[in-house]
Amino acid sequence: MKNKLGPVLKLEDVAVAYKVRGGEIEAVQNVSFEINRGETHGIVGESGCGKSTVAWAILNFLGANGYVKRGSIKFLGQELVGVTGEELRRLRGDQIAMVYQDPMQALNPSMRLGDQMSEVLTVHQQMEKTKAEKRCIEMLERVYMPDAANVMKRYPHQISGGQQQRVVIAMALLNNPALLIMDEPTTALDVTVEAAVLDLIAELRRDFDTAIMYITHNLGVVARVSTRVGVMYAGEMVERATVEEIYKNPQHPYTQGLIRCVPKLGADKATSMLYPIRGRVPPPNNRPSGCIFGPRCDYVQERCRAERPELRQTEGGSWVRCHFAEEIDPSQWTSSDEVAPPKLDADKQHGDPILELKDLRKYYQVQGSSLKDVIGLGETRYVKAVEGANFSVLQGSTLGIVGESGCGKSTLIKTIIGLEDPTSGEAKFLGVDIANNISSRQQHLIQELQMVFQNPDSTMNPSYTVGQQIGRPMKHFGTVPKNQIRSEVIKLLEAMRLGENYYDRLPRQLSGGEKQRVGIARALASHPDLVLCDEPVSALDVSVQAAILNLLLEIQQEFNTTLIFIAHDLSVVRFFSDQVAVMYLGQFMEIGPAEAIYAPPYHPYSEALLSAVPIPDPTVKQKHIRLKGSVPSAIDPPGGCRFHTRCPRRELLPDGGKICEVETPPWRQVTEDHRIFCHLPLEILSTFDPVISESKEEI
Amino acid sequence: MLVKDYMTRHPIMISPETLATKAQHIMFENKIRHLPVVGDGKRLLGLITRNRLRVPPTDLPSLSVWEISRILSELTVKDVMVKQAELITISQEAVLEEAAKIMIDNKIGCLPVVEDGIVVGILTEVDLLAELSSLLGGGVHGVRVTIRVPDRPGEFVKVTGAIAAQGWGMYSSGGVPSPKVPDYWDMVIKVRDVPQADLVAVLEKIEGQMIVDVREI
Amino acid sequence: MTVKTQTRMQAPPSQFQKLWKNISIVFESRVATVGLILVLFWIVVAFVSIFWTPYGPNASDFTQNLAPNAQNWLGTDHLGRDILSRLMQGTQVILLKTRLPGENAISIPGGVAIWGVVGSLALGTFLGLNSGYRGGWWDQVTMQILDALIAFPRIVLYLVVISALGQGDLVVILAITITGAPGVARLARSLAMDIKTRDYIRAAETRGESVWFIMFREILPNARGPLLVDGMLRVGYAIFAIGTLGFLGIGLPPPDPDWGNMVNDARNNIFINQLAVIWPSLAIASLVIGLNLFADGLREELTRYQK
Repeated sequence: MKNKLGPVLKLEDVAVAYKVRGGEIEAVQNVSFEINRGETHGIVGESGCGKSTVAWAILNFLGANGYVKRGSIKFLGQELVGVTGEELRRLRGDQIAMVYQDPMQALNPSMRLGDQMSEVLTVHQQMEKTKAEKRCIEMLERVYMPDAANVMKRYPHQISGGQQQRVVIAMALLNNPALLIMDEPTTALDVTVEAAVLDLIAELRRDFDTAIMYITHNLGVVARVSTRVGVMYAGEMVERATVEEIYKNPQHPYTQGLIRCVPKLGADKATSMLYPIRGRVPPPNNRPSGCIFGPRCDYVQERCRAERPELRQTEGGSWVRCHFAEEIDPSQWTSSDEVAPPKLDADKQHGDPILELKDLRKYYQVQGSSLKDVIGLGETRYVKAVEGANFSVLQGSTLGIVGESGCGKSTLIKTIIGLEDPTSGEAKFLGVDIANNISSRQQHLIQELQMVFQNPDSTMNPSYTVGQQIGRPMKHFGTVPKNQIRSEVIKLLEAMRLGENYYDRLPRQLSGGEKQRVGIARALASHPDLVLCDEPVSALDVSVQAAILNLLLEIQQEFNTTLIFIAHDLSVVRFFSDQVAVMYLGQFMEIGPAEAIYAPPYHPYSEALLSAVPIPDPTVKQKHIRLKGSVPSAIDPPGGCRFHTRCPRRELLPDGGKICEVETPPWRQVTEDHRIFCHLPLEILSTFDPVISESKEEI
Repeated sequence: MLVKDYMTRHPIMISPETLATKAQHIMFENKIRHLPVVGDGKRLLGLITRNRLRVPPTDLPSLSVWEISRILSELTVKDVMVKQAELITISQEAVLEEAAKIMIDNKIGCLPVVEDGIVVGILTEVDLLAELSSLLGGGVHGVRVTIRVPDRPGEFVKVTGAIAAQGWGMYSSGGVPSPKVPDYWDMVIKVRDVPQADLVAVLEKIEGQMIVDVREI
Repeated sequence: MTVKTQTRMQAPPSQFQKLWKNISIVFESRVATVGLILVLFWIVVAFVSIFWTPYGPNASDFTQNLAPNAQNWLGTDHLGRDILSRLMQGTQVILLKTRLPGENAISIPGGVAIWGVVGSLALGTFLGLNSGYRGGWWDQVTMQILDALIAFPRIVLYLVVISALGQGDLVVILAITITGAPGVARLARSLAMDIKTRDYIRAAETRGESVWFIMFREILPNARGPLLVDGMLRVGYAIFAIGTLGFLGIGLPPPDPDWGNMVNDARNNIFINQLAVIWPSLAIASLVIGLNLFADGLREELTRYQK
């Protein structure tokens, strides 16, 4: 009934080209899809696949050198292509709104939020100021902004990232747009915040009948918000179907590949494998003839190389751009040797503890701004970044650390590696005290403790070649004689599945995944015993991420390296780690074997984290737990249990959990190596239902 | 059953400067009969209907083909639309029967839904028919019974009570004064997953009521 | 695309090709090209003047204060010397040679302006990298001192240095170094503060590299571009400074002609021969503008390439 007016947005065979020096590049080709009222159309694909370009084409934000070369974009039945200036503005009116990844792009930092929001109404709709303000407050309340009236008086930097994104969404909705384009709106947010924003989007779509185009690279997020999904690859839409169909019955080899790349929540490295897609996305000026996915496809045949497939509808109702979609049976798929995941020794025994931390603390002193503080009479205050870290890591095992941003994961790692001095506590590495700065450590100790970084773009020095950078640790530690460094580096490069020809390349000639491999090679060059990985895959595309994870597993297997692995993606941590520690506001909440953390009994915070993880499977039933508010400041963390301000399970204790505010909780020993930091007794913790209810057979 | 639940949000709208021929094209292409005309900020200025685009021959100075096409090509939406002053609108908080009455009284097929002068949706006769259809359980399989009951309190309860006593549930129901029979009401109910004979057997036992029509659809 | 070309083309491009590739970006920018032409013009003039000038630059062979004519293209000065020859000779001390003090009058290659800028770049980069990377007290103290230097009027600073050390090419170099270093230091400091947040610096730290290694091997190569462009601009300022000093009579010592000094001399006879003031002023201006344009265009192209 709703659709008697036809789709809000309809793209037919759209191609977008950019004029560049010496020709033009077709960034996007043959994209068709439509979005109806009250529908969320997800667009997924890896970076550089043209997802955002499509959005910009709709908004006519292509810049001076970009234009829609072919096809038609119809918004509310009216053609947008070829229309410019004032007429376009009138057509589009205030009916298309966009939400970006970074909310600060949309907010003016020098204006109060209330003024920015009400301006939308007073300028466009000539609403009176007081009335507009009332509407804004209503809208903020609608997006569940706590203390909405007060938020109106604040500046953007005074509220948290999740709240900023809510303001942006509220602002976008003030005009009651027919189409809302969201470009990775939750990518920069923590899982718990992301879950709340996604809930909000689903709700608003229903209430306002807005058509939403949702761009993301995260398959889990798409599964949660979308009704239909389009998969983009190298500027083309390769598959389009309902969300159930895409996950249950993916038709295109690329979609199948993508789904194989991401670890399922609850899967671990012993029982399941990740299969990266070989090769990389071709640049737009050098796309293969024939099927665009051909060079990376496992089913490629002669016809695929000769003839470009059209987007066609299969019997199942989904649209796919593949000649052989019906003949491909993903269950019969085996990985090609090129990307085969490492075979792991399932019952590998871990050695003795290599790293032991006892009550390690890291406080930062903060300077107050009152007069008293300036003359030095003020009370010294501390940011309690890490509080009472107490664990040991066994040789050859992996410890995963999870937690929201700002929970002290990175500080902990920096303290271990010696970039920060611990405030108190003990740390022993290989039996040697390392509760000190790196400058006071022995050379051979430094050599055994290396690190892999998050951002592939800044992990390598742009001025030196790959070979020089990997060779430097060897030279520095003197582990390899000078004349053998080159051959040793090449050996390492080959272990990273990069060839010898990478030796003389500069970082700018490498892709993100390759840079990350070089970063890993550099960390391994001194043959360290313990490698600290700070979100090594979170900036990478899923197919590359799978390859890097496999690589790390392989290395660990080969060199018996111990890893500490920080990540915010709980599925990845579960897949990758033997032990998992959950941190909240500098405090460890739970620590134990990976499989134990992801099943009851768990800490209420772990439970909340798990229920927020977007799962790339729309059929999975997930418990709905959303934390209230945001992470409190670490300067004056809440007393007692630090989680008590947001804990959804406090009520289970007598007196509404009074004890949580006053007393530090005890460590509850579940099994020998599984501990939970909570006032709730184990008997109660064990009664929690599993977060994800799904029959085991289905996995 | 408020207007806001049944209206179409985000209707196709056009600006007053658009050519009338363009408006006609949009209506034809999207198979719609009404086009709200809006200015900046979706402020309602008028309404275009198909009728409005028919230029009466008396308005044409001569019947030369060239003349006609010239006039048509210069005609804008502003010239032919129902002006704001004579336009009847409704608020999204209004109830549907209110909207229906306005449409019947004025013999119009469409009401722009307006909030503070800004278009938030459009309600057409089709929307109302959609409501009527779903009110009577249209499109859902079940046994549809029309019962004629005396116009006095307590009759409806008898029906619902008898059905509830069997552990069944009514999918939909509606009632109107019986046509041409004063002091009686015709009740239409639909019950799902029930054999027709069983339902009839139960309803027949109610005294003072009469089954007018039974069918399984 | 890069993968394929790299693997197929086994022979790496020759050194010359690489160099040309680097240089060719200058011609992407019209501004830089114009600047380069101006600068190259003066460099050529300087080289030519070593071997040939129309007349002896210090010989008073002609009538005083002649207007431009067929013989003396730019006229003559108050001592009857050919202005064109003096102008040509004057480029040498600025761009090509520095006269060391002593009886033998040995010259080393590289003009006063060049050495002055090299000096301020070296000193400024050293101080700036130290401040930027180490931070804390080191940063506070260094920057306070440098700020004080900047706050000091420049001319007064020149006067102080030169009156303390006497006239001479090396003294002028020193003066330029000291006045230029604070600016370079500020730039180097801000670059270091930006670059030190990158992960590769963290990687070097976790390797236990020394502070010097990190500053000069990890940070400096990535700060090179902006520093070089700044240096180019500073050559312009240095030429300006030399002109100013010459005008005040405390610039480069004779016998070589000094552009600033020429302006000052011509100024005394401005009512007799107006054009004599114009020529050296024009020379200073065109060289400085050329360098500025070149540096500006280069910076634009370099930053564009980074994106």
